Amino acid sequence: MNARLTLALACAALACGPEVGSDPMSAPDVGRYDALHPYLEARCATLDCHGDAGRPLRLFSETGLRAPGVERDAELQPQERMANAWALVGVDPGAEPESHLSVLKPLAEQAGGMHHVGEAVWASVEDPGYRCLLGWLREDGDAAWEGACAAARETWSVPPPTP
Amino acid sequence: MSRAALALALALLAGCLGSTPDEAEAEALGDTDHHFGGEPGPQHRPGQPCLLCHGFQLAGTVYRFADDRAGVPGARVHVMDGEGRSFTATTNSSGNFYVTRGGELEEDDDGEVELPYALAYPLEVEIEHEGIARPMRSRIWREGSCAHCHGPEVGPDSAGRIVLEDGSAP
Repeated sequence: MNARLTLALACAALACGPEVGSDPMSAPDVGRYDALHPYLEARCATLDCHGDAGRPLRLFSETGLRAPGVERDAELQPQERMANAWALVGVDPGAEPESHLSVLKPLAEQAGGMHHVGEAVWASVEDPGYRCLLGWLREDGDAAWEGACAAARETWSVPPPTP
Repeated sequence: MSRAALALALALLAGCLGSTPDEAEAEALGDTDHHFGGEPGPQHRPGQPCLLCHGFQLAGTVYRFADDRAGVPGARVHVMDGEGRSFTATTNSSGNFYVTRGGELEEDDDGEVELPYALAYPLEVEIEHEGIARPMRSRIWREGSCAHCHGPEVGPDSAGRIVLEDGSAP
């Protein structure tokens, strides 16, 4: 088979194949991040954990790390919300939600998770926090997801400031 | 000694040189105890991250106002750990308190509380003094030095000093 024909066939094969560079998680669901944030703020984003800018997953929050230029006691700002959403997906870009580091690291190893310096956050995949974060990664948006996030927030939320 | 063994020995030695991040942070605090100036002891270095040098379970300093030179003595620090166990520490003359591991629950008047158990995270904390009570909004998940998060100044990565009242002294 001559070189030109080989090249032509190769180009044809590429044209029929999957889109090069497709990324199922190329952009985070910033719009629905607020369902997740109160839980993350209380359970993950404290200054001694993921509110430490040196950690691979860095999260901003009202009671934790603030973005440059943001007053300490201000509500979560749009740029912080955006940065958190990108930080969550960016810790494992391109990974499928069920195998994403942001859900595997906090999950107990005996439940299929990974070693986590902060120890196991979720004992099983039934934990509302796990289901909330996984559902956000998958962009579920259904009532079951909303219920999981509400349950997670019920357990772990930061109280409002004392007046 | 063969060249390979020598190279290995030198590589291992290189790994022992230099400071860990904690050692570097402790060195950066310097030798001068600006606020106390006395002998090392429970009153020294208020406001600094105690666990850089000490094996306490929890330790910190309480101030009345953020710009006070010294911490406030006699403040109560109420702590509940992740297993629902509670205790209270009382700050000493420098505003310091520290929690150690010992045989029986015991509190002294020099800021120490000795616990018969290892604290389980997360910790919920409230400070209280002369009718003022101030709970910590977030929980402590892994850091026993209060000053690790409560640096001397409010900033993006610091909640500022642990204070009973906002603002400055009248």
